[in-house]
Amino acid sequence: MKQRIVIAIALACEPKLILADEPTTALDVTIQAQMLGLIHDLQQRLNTAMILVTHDLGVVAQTCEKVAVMYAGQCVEYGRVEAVFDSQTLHPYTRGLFNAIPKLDGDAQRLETIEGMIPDPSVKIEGCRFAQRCKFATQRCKADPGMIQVAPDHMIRCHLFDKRTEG
Amino acid sequence: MEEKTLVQVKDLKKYFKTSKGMLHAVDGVSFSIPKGRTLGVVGESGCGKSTLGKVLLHLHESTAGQIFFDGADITHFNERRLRDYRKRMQMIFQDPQASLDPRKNVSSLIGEPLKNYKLTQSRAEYEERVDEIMRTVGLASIYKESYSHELDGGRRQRIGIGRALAVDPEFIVCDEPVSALDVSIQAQILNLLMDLQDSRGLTYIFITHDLSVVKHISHNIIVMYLGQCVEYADAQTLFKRPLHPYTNGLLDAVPIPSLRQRRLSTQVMRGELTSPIEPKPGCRFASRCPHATGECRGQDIPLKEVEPGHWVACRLACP
Repeated sequence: MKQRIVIAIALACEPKLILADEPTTALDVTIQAQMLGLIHDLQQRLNTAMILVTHDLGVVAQTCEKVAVMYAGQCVEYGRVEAVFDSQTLHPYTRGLFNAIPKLDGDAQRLETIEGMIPDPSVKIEGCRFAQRCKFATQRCKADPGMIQVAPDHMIRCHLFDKRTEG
Repeated sequence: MEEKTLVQVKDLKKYFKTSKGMLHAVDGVSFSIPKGRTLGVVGESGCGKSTLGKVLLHLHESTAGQIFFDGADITHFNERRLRDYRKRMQMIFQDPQASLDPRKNVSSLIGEPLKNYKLTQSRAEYEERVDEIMRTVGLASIYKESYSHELDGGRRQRIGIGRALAVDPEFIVCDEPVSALDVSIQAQILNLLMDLQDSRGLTYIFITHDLSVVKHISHNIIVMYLGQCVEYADAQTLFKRPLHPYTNGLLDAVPIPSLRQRRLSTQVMRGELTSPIEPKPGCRFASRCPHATGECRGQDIPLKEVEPGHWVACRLACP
């Protein structure tokens, strides 16, 4: 109910863009499903663009067209959801996120984790910001790889996918 | 091997007095948990999950019913007699930021329960215990002098777990311990809790609204709706053969992180919760249930065992 009021306030001026910051994180699944349905319907009807900020990959899969994965202040992966969710080509951090989710249909005993913690944002890191937690990190990760196009609708900030420095 | 029951609850009730009448937060819940096992409690916010946990630990006085711990009926114990039991039962809270004293550093937060129960004889022993607990929960010793607000959510939750472990409990109520954390940190904390259960034989009640988390960590699961248990089964059975329409609704509503199962507008549960204040007799889910008939209203639906170990409170699921 409270979230509906907030949505109503946001829509009052018929905006062209809505920024939804974790709109359903505090809600449980049934209400969350109602809210996402509501936001989706309104978006269709009013033709509004939306940026949805969340840490729930399930919510992204159910509602979004494009996804940007952020790590320590940078975008590390960006693309259409189809390109990212169905792809085996993923940034090591994104892959770690997917593996860390307990699956409803799996029987795994232990969850895979990304070792280590998020770096201190007050310390500047040279090169890839994920390198210190990355299983695949090598010398070249000391330089920022930049965003690399791996498919028409898919970009990744990781040296693993850089054809030029390969080998 | 016969499993020893550590915690048992019989027809537990907790009503709160409000200006509009009695609020039935927990309304006749019964279960037992064998030692070393985890009972998951799922349900929407406001269904009485957290109240249930707090009543178990005597943070709230129960209205009716009985609580047994290790064979003893502790329902009406006074503070003095409870003290020994309090040490054996601990709680991990949802929001570590709100439950940790901001003026204390990490080592005194973890040491506080040791002091409260006078568990260490000397200064050296105290320091040693604090170091040991920090190692157990995976907090590097450089954080000993840090304050909780300086740390991220994952480390704060480790402090919360450390505080609970300090007194060497047998039973821990985990109230949404990972809901505020993002998935990579959530996985670390879940693994930590499961490792501790293996190494120390801990018994957990795990309260959450996240179904994938509860399935992962629990042996048995209770589904609660407005203060009542509507379904109870072991984790595998509940997810394979959910019988109560509410359990089905919950499972349908989980957003799956995969495009193949993308479905937005299907089967969204309609309607909002009915009020838990002075509820009328009958199935409390009837107002939102797609299968409800007149017979669901008017009389309470008892839990019935439909197959061994699988209980459900629905007229349609058990003919």
